[in-house]
Formats: sequence, structure tokens, C-alpha cells
Amino acid sequence: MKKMTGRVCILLLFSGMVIGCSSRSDMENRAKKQKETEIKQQEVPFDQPLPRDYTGTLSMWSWDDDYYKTITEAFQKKYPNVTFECTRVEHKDLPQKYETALIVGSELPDIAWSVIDSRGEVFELDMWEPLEQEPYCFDISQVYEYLHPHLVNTKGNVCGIEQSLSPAGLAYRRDLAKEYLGTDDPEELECMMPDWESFIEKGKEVYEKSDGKVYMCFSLGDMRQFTQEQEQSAWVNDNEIDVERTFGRSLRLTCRFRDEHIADNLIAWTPAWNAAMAGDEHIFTACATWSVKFTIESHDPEGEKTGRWGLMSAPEGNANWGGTAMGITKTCRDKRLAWEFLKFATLSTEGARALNSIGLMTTAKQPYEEDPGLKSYKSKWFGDQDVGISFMEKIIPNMKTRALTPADGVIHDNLSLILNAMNTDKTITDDDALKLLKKELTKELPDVKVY
Amino acid sequence: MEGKRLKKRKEKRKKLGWRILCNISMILALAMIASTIVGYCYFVGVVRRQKISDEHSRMLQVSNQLSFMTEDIKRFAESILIDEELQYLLDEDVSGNEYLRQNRYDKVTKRLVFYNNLRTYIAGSVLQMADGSCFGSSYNTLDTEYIAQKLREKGIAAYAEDDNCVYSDPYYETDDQNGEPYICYQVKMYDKHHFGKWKATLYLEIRLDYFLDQVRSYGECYDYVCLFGNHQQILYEQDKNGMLQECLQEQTPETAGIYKTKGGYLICASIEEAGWQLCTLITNRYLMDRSKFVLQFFLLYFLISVGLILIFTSRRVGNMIRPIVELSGKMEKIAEGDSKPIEIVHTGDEIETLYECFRNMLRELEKSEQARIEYEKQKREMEYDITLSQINPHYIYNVLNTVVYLAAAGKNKDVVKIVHSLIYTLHDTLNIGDGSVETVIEKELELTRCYLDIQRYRYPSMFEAEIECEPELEKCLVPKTVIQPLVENAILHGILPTEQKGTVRVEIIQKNGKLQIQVRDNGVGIPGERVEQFYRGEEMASENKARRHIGVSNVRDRIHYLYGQGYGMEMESREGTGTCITLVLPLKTQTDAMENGTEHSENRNQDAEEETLP
Repeated sequence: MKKMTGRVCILLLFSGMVIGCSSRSDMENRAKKQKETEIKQQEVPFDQPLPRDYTGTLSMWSWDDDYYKTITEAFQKKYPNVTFECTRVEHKDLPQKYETALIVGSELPDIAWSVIDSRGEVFELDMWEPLEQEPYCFDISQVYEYLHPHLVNTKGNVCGIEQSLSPAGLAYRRDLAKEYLGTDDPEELECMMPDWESFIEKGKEVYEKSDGKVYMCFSLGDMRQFTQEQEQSAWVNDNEIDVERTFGRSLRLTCRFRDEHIADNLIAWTPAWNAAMAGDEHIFTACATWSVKFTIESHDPEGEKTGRWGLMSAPEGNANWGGTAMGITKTCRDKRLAWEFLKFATLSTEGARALNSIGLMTTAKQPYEEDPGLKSYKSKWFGDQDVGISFMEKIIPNMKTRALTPADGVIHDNLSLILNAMNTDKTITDDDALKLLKKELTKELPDVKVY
Repeated sequence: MEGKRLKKRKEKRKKLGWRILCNISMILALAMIASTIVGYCYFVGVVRRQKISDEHSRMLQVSNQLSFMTEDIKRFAESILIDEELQYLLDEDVSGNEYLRQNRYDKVTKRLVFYNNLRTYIAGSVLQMADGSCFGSSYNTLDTEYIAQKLREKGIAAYAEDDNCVYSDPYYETDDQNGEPYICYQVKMYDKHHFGKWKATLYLEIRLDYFLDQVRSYGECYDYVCLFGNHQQILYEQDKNGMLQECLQEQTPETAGIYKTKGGYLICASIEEAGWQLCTLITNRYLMDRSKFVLQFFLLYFLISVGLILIFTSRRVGNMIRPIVELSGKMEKIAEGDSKPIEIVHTGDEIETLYECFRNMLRELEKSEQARIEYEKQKREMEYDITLSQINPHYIYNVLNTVVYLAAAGKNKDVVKIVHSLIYTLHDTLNIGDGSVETVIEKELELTRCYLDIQRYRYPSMFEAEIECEPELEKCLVPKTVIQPLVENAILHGILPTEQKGTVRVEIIQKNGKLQIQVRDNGVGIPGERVEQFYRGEEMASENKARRHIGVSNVRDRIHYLYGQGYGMEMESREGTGTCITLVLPLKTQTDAMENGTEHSENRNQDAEEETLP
């Protein structure tokens, strides 16, 4: 009996201990798991690829959803444990947003974007990691030479790498061109309109032929910017701005486009402008590589079936239109991962393939050598025409670029204001516009000599 | 054999200590279970109430935080409106100058962007003037219609007309339905130069995640959280298995508070500044998980308590009952025949009394056993004396007179015969020292014949005797001296009183597997009241006291004593006609008696023991 009682008692006490200890073991397990997740990432040299299971997070302020999704998803296929945090920001607001963050000391994104319009100003902000220096040691010669001036600031530091090439020619509606200009062949059209003068003459004919319904261009805005970007000289030279020499040609052409009914008065990027892509009242629009998907494919559903668009070199040469560079900010939490992403997105062949899937073309040279097919991009909207080849072989060789300056953003904003005013107020002449510009730049840029 | 049975019975009996321990354990366990359940229920109730209260407090913290955020947004919006530069730009006269208008637009929107950048949760802002013109922070161009269209697409235009809603319903960017959701906060600007004149409305487009991050953070510990916006529209929902919705359908919370539902407790807090409501469901399962430690504690407490109590109780009980166990052992030995005297254990309580009483009882038992033996001895002697006394001197006197008469008459042969019969009769009567109570019928009949021979000389020509016995029954056993007394009664009390010649007939037969002895006479018979006395088992009252002999009652009682139920004596008599006495006895021979003797004696011993048990 005693033995039996003793066993029962021991069993009872043991059960009690087990119950008492159960909650403790739970806590230990949790602590162990937490420890496991807190294992620090091993340092990996910047010129070596990261391990596939590398874990990290990168933040970006973005406005281009197509690009962001495409490139981040491709990167995550390679590094599944990397996550991205995206904050949607209008590119127009970016300079001010960066400035505010720098002034108040708040956090910048790990990967910062800079659109071409304000890049000169933004690259002057002390927020960029100099990519040409250690540990990145980026060799700028890896990308196309014409872009080099767009990637450096006045100190000579490489602040970012262009997401994609942005050469722009003219896209046109083949059906309307055939109807009003007699041909839809790009080369014939290029021969027909070698300069803007002939373009204007043909535009007048089209306007008259269509009883004032069909315009050569959709809006003054894109044509003003396109013609402006055809100029090769920097907007500010030796701290001086020669308004007439730098902006006169473009503004006078714009004024003629308006007065001679070459361009409609639609405002770029508005729903009306987008909707007009599917209409039959406009023939030409400035078209960069990103415009194919962003402007034409997105807003002309009929074009997919008919392939009614064509691409040609613009009169008086092509231009670099738009473009966004990405760099690493000084507040970046994981610069190693940021550099890996930057290399993948802008320099690698894998990144180039991802870009190609949405009609964009990498700025790096090597991917085209490794995979010549990357030069090719065919869009159903453009029929049989290989848009990629056209950009690479026809548009880029016939393209002019200019050096960027910190004052470009202010100048660009003022040009936009004047354009908008011209678009609304038909009484504003080209001389008025130039005077206005001179006056405003003098006011806005007191340290620069404007004449 | 009996000893083995007793041993088995003892083994089957539960041990006293085990029984006491079992009883104590059961009582303790029941008491502990009852107290544990009561304690557990009470403390679980306390823990559950505390938990619900804690959760309510946490929820109030979150709702207060959301209220504070709304208040902050309101203050921030108001600070935008009173911005001097903005006021200056809006008051600027730009009519007739498109460039100035564009320039003002640009500057106003830049001012708005400046403020937007001060708050990470603001995605954009639009200032809509009373005349319908708009300034949009995220719109490149001055296109009032376009901005107004955007406001309509986002549902902000409808929200502007609804004064009951603090925030608009959630919406997405029209070209990015998969992006993040936004809500709009509006604040009106009035003209400082004209009291109460509405000048403009500022719309702040706020990332809904700014609020939802708070709720998500709160909801990390819960499976069920729901944030209701305008008109009970769900802004955020974390509802595992749809249980929260079930509870919300069961109990629609219109005001803040705690509601009991089938699934648990629905805790609701209103965010009055935003016009929203935050609800969470604290499920019964969650509460059970959180109060599990109480169960573990009580289980631990129960197991340790019962374990310790059992350990100490078993030892204490063992010590307490040891004298009883020892006493029991001694009693067993005594029962087996060991008559060693017991030693008293001095416990100073009832056990010591028990020992003393047992010792006294043993002494008393010894005394009574000796008295019983003495009594048996005396009884046997008395029975002998009684038997001897049954030899009637008058009967011997008459027989001897007859012998004298016969001797005088020279009938020597008759003298020899009668004396021989008397000797046989006396021998058989006095032969009580062999211990046997039964004899064969053959001998019993011989005794009867001797008696009849003597009586024929005494009462010549007064009776005739007939004895019939089946030869195979002659070896059967009957109690000693059962036939002769009946024959004697038949002659002396039945036939002689008639003063006429009578007949006495003895018939021995086998009937229904039993032995039947019938003694019949045609004498005077027996009165009815005496027959009734016989059947009541009483002494036959009028038996001749002067002539003491072994009477009918003696025979009846002996048969009953020896054979029990199913056997005995029956009496049939009618006055003036005669009497018939029938004995029903077991049919057994001497051989049978030898075989069954042991078992019979054992059964008798057992019966005797059972009869003596208290």
C-alpha cells in the first residue's frame, strides 16, 4: 500500500512540475525564435553578388508604377527575401519633398529618384552617395556617353544612374498620315519634313484639308519641350542665361504651332489629352521610349488591333525627353542591398530584360552586347515596325543632349508657366513670352545674369 | 476445508489502512476538487474581467490616438489656411493676365506641396475656391475642370456636400485601383474681409494607412479588429473565420461599450472626432487562453496538495491503525487455536480500551467454555440418570411376580424365556455408553419382540401382536428405542383399557424413498385435545406419571433432533376405534451412515458454529 501511495504521490508532484514548467518552455521557444530572426546579415563585398537568401528592405518614393513593379518583382525573383516599401509621390513635388526632409532631418527613401526636369537642382542636394567612389566604384563608362552629363552634379559626383534610355522621336498615326500627308512610311515622312518649317507648312495643309479638325500635334506643351530639348547647349553658361539664344527658337516655334493651328490646345497628361490618343484629330506626338507604353498603349485600345502607329525621326533631329535616375541616399539603411538593386536595375542584363518587357531600354552598354535582342522591342500598336531598333539605330544617333545645371528646374517651371499662359491666352506673342521669361528668371535667379 | 475458506475470505477483505486512506483520499479529493473548482471559477472570472478591462483600455488608447491624429490634421489644415503667403496669393488680382494666373497657380500649389511635405501621411491637397477654380498640389497644370473631375471620381465632391462626415469614404487613385487607399479631410476657409463669407475649401488627401497602421499595430495581438468609417463602412477588418461579422450581426453596437455575444465580448470605442468606430472581439477562446495560467496554478496546487496530504496521511494512518492491525493478527491466531495471552498496547485511547476489553472477553470466553464442558458432562450424567430412572421398578416387580408364578407352576421353560427377554430388554435399555444413537431395525424389532414376550405372560390372551417388515429393510438404521415405546403405549394405554382382546400391528415399509414405521392398535384411542397437544409439540399431559417410560413426545423430539425437516411422527386416533402412530425416517443403512458420517458431522459442526456466531 505504501509503495502504491508513494507512486501516486510522485506522479501527482511530477505532473504539477510539468504543468508549472510548461509556460516557461513556451517563453524560451519564443526567445529562441526571436534570436534566430535577429541574426545579422553577413557583410558581402560590394563587387560580389549577394547571397540569394539575403534579407532586407528598401524604400522608394515613386511615381512610375509600371517601372517600379516590373523591376522590383524581377529583383525579388533573384532575392526573394528582399522587400520594398513604396511611397507614391508626384515627380513635380520631389525637389521640395527632398528639401523638406533634408531641412527637418526626416528620413529620405533608401533609393531616391530624380526626374530629368529637376535633376540639375536635385543632384545639388547633399543627399546622394557618390557612386564613383568606394565602396561602389561605379564606372560611368558602362552607360551610354550621351547620358553622362545627366548623371553627375556640379562637383563631378555620380549621383544616380538612369533607369532607361529616353530618346524621343515623333510617333504618328499611320492612317491619318496616309490620309492627309499621302504616306505612312517613316522615311518618306522624314524626307517630307526635314525641318520644322516644312512640318508647319504640312500642318497648315492638314488643318485646311480637314476643315480645321485635324492638327499635326496634340498639345503645345510636349512640342515646346521637344523643340527645347533639341538644343544642345546648356541653359546656363558661365552663370549667364541668354534667353533669346537658348529659348528663342523653341518659344517662337511654339507660338507658330499655336497661331498656325499646328498644335491643338490640349493640356498634356490630362484625361482629354490621353483620350485624344484614341481619336482621329491628331497625327504627331513626341515619343520617347517610355511614351510607347505610358502614352500610346495605355490610351489607344484600338491601336493594338490595327497597329496604326509609326515612329520616325523628328524634324531637325531628335531629343532626350524625360528620364529618371536612381541613386542611393546618405540615409539609406542598407547601402549594400541598395547598390545591388541599383546594379540590377540599371546595369545588369537581367534588369535589362525586365525593362524590355515593358518597352524600356537599359542605359548600360554591356547588356546589349550580351543579348543583342534587347535592342528589339515590338509593339502591336506599331505594327511590324521594331520600335526598339528604331530608337537604337535611328533616333539615338540623330539625338542632341545638353548638360544640366542647378537652375534648370526653375527655368523649366517658368517655361511651363509661360507655355500654359500662351496656351490659354492667344494674345501672348513669342516676344511677350521671351520678355516674360527674362523677367521671371531675373526675379527667380538673382545670382544669374539673365539677358 | 473450512480453514481454507476462512483464509480466502480474509484475503478478499480489504485492508483497514487502505480503506481509511481511500476514504480520506476520496473525501480530500472531493473537497479539493470542489474548492479548486470554486477557486478556479472565481479567479478565472476575475482574470477575464481584468482582461476585458485591459483590452478596453487598450482600445481606448488607440481610439484616443486616432482622435488625436484627427485633431492634429484639423489643426494642421487650419495652419495651412492661415498661411500669410497663401492668403496673399489668393488675394492677388490676376484677372486679365494669364501668366500671372498661371504664376499664382504655380506658387499656390508649391505652397501646398510645402505643407504636404511636412506631413508624411498627406498624399496631396486641393484648394477649391468659391468660384470653382482649383489649385491642386499634385497637378502640373492649371486645369480646373480636370481637377474637379478628379475630385468627382474620388467621391470628394459628394463628401464636400455632406457636413456629417469628418472624412470622406476611402478611395483609390483613378489610374491605380490597386494602390493604397486615401481619405479626404476638408476644412473651409472664410474671407477675413467679409464675415462668414465662404472663400475656399481645402481638401487634404490623407493616406488611410496613416490611421490603419495604428489599428494594425493594435491588431497584431488580436484576430478580430474592425474599424468602421462613415455609415458603418468597414475601413479595416481583421476577421479570422468571419467570427467578428457574426458577432456584429448578433449585436449591432451603436454606441461605445462592451457587448456580450455568443462568441465572446465585443468591445467598441467611438472615435468621435473622426466619426468612426473601432471594434474588437475578445473571444471566449482568447480569454480561456489568457486565463489558462489560473487553471495551471490550481491544477498544480491541487496535485501538490493532494500528493503531500496523501504522503503524510498514509504515514499517520499507518501509525494509528498499527495496534488494530496487530490486534487483528492476534485474533486470527487465536481463532486458529493459539491461546497465548495478548499484551496490551498503551495508546491511551479507545484502542487501549479495545485491547483491554478483548483480553477480558478472552478470559470470559475461556471461563464460559469450561463451564460449557462442565455442563455437557453434567447433562450426560443426568441423561444417564434419567434413562436409568425410566426403568420402571413396578414393571420389573410385575415381571418378577410373573416369573415367581411361572416357577411355582413348574414352567421352567417359560421362566427361562421371560427372564431372558427381561435381560435383553434391560441390556438394551442400559446400553447407552457406546455413543451411538441409532440401531438397525432388526435389533429394534428384537427388543420389541422380547417386550411382547414378557407382556404375553403378564396379560395372557389380552392382545395379539403382528410385526411385518420387508427383509431388505431390516438392516436400515433407526433411532434407538423408538418402536418398543410405541408398542408399549398401544398395549397399555390402547388395548388393556378396553378389557377385551386387541391387536397391535407393527408395519415397516419403504415409501417415497423414506422409511415408514407404523404402529396401529384397535384400542380406546386418544382424545382430540391430546392429539392437538401432540401436534403443538407439547408434552402429552396425561401420560402416566406414575409409570415413567420413554413416551411418544420423547420419540418425536429425538426424530426431529436427529433428522430435522421432512421427517417426524404423525398421529391418527379416534376414540373407541384405535390409534395409528406413523414414523417417517430417512432410509439409510449402516454403510450409508459410515460414508456420510464425516460430512454429516462437519455440517452439523458448521451449523452449530453458525448458530453460535453473534
